[in-house]
Amino acid sequence: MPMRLLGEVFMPKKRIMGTVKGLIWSIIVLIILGLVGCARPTGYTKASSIWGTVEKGYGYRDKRINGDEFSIVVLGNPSTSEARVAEIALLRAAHLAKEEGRTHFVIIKQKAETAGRAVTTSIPLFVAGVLVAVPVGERTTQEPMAILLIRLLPLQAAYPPDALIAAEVIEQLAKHLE
Amino acid sequence: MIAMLGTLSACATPARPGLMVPESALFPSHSLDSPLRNAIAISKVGGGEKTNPLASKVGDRELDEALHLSLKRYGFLITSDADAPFRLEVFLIELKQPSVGLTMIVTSAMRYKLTRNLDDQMMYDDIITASYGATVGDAFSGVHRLKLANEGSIRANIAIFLQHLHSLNIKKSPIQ
Repeated sequence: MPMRLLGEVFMPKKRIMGTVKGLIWSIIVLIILGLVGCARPTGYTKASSIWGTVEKGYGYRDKRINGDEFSIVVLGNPSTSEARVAEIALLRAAHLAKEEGRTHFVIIKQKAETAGRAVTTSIPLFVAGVLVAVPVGERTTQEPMAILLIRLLPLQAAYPPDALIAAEVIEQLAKHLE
Repeated sequence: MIAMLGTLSACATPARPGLMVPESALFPSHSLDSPLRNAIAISKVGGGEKTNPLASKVGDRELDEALHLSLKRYGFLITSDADAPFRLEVFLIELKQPSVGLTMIVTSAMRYKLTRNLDDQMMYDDIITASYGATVGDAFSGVHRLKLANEGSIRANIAIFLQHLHSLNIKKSPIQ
């Protein structure tokens, strides 16, 4: 029995159309969800890997430079303001101090940047019966990036005047970022 | 899909130090008399990441080699580290890479810290950021394109630092 007839036996025409419609609606819903997701500013979240280990995504990440010095980088999506990524970096610094059992930290360096990202525009096309995304153009979007270098201070009786109190930073920023 | 990923992953190799050395840079003429000439030792390089099967990265070893080659090419590297009047610490804070795209833009952020050994005085401490975009015209394979973008970004970053070094107004110490 030819494949087409087999298909009709196991899946009537109406059902096939229903499946195709369902698939199209699923794609539309996913696109809308994707757009809604992008429209919201980046929150206080650890940047997680997309595609395993290639791209780290939006959010914060940190590295220990040496001893008590750390670097914190926050990358926001295009809907995120420069002020917000700076606040996320500061909040992460405060949490980091707390995680390391410290109460105070100082900012060594800070930098606000924008990083470009090339976004490929594509249209869905049926090629040999398969729905594929065909690239038709490219545009560059700018994403805000905040870089913060901090030093955690050892527990001591007196702290320098430029020291920030981790608990106070968390109290001030956590409410509208977390 | 798995076969395709497998083929691509086999190609991911680390950035090449020689291609992270700035080819040319415009320097002010007064920098020829700078006390930094043939006076810097690279004491520490960190923050790099090892290349994984999916993506080319810039590791500490590659970055260290690229910095040595760059400082040497532009006459800043001292031949004997023990006698160096200045020490340089470099930390790769961030290497922002895309996962897909026709043009792959990589942004690097590096901290350069230059200290005078004589009195531990900080001569320079700054974060430099630089971006580079590699297109399909540069490389058809995405994995190779990402590597080119990594190299270009680090190269641009080091070039900015070298320009800053040339512009630094450091007076000669009587001991030097």
